[in-house]
Amino acid sequence: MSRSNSSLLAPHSENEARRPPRQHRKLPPGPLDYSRRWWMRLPLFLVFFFLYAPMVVLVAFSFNDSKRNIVWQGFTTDYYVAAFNNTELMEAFINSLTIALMNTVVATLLGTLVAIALWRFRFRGRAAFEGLTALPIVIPEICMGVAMMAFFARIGWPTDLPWPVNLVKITIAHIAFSFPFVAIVVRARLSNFDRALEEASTDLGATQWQNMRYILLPHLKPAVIAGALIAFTLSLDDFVITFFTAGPNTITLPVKIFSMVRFSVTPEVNAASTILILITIVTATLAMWLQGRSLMHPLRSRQTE
Amino acid sequence: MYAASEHNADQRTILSLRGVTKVFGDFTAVEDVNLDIAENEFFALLGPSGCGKTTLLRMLAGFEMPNAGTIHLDGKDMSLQPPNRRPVNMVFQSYAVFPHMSVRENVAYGLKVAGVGRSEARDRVEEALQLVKLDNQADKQPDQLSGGQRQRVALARALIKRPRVLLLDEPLSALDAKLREAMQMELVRLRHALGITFIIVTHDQDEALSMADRVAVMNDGQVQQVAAPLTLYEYPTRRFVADFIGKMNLFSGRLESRHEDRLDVRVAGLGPMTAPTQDSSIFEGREEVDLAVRPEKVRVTAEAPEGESRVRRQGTVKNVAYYGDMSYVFVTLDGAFTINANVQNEARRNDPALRPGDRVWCSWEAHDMLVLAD
Repeated sequence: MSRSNSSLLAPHSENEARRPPRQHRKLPPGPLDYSRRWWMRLPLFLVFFFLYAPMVVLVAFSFNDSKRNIVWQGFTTDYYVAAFNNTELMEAFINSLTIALMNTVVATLLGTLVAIALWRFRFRGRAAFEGLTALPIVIPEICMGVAMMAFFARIGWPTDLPWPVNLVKITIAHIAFSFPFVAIVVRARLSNFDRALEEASTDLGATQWQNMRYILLPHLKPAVIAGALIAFTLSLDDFVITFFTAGPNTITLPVKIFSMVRFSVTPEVNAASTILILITIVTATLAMWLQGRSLMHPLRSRQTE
Repeated sequence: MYAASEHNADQRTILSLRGVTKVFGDFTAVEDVNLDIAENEFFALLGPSGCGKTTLLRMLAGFEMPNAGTIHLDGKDMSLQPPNRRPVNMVFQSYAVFPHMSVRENVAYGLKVAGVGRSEARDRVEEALQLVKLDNQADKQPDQLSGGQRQRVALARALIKRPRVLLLDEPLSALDAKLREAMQMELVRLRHALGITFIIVTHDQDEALSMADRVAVMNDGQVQQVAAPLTLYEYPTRRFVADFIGKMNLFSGRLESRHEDRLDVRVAGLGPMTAPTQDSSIFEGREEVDLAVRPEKVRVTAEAPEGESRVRRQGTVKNVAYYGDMSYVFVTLDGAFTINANVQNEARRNDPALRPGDRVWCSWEAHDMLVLAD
């Protein structure tokens, strides 16, 4: 260090030396300072334990080298191979994906249109319509399942249709309970739509359709995608409603897994379940990420192009 | 001077409003508005919030339809035409820049929806961006822009449509003071460069007075007075306008006698006064009238002022509010009310020239006084 430099620094360091070291007082914990009170951390721990431990065990035991699958015997991926070679299981899986995809397309379209209609228009019975739309979310799934079964039996829905038309029955049931979720997500996004954007668009000469196409839909895009992913996961892992509407030739993955479990919990079941969990987690995470972005300030959220 | 309230005769009327009225439920937002706006004019609608100025602007844009009356543009009735079919464009208060489009896409939007050809559109976008000095920001997204830049996008987006009339809804209210001043100059420059009629809505009188050729002052849905800024300030005809624009000393008096060009009024505590008026006939049959004088026209002196034509009264300084370049002096006139005078602090001094309790003379030229209707 050069001389001038050190002389410049000298008064500064002297100052530093004279100043007493900063003392931080240790503050007593606040009443809801959960990170510092064990009795507040305990319930959190218990919740996470009961929520995730079973799933961790399920995933771990899908790699267990044992037919009975009670005691850990050693690591293997044999049961994933077995699951993929199980034609009935694979058929069920393909059925599930087909239903989920058909459901996603229709439920997303329907849900988005319902949300726009409820947001945009004032009409007679609008409040009742809004309430009825949300009903499938609160109605017990078992009731809806039984109702669907009775309904399809009553109208005499044909049972001997060829694949994939025979999946339409389940798909209709899935659309009925999943489109309100899409509507809710899209509706939330609509509530922070700046109507001035629409007016500006009209002012610049756009028609109603052009407003929809160039202004409203781009704004709704993240919410529509999030809604679609929610509809997809809801359909993919639905058991109760599917159970009541499925026929012998239209078994889905959750229904198939249920019937396999009734005989014995083999690692094959674990493997199939793990795959289902994986798909669900990936889509759900994507949905939440997109929805989180969609609820941000409109100016802040750059649409994914 | 009064004649300035009528716009130049050689300028063609572009926009003509007759009896325009807008009612929301049982609330009358705009009532019987009659206006003629000339081609290439910078016209301001000024008034307090809720006076109906924005509703009037939205009727010009087509977002609201008048319940009564007509709006003619270039001689054609467009009272009930939808916004997308009017040769009128608007700059919104919130700018309403499309957040999912780049600056260039925003500006090009009006041409895209109209189906203008690609090469023509490209040239016009380039031209519009240069006009508002955004040509080097063209590929930015709106959230990368400052408030002032966003406003330029909104301007370019409206101007690219080559409107007959450009409507601006409180365009400067969201900008900070420095930027506001720059943008005021910018708007005046644009208007001269383009030769388009500008109609601006504002609650800021400085904005209206400094930019506009003519100003319509609105209150309670009605137009109170339409005049050039100078006329509006120096010759307000109604009490509301006198009070709303700038500062004003108002006092009411009893009408003693009426002459062709002046009124004799007796003001309680001040005695008889004579005030000039352009048209004394509107005061026919009136007993009470309002007199007014601007604070900067009132001079405060220690000695009795010279000059035959000056109205003079003695009083006591009640309060002095110091603003640096000037002071507001409040003087309680003997046997009467308190009057406000502006005193320029022309010379530097170490202690105040006036203190509360000082005996002073207040005086003003008789012809600086105003008589106000209602």
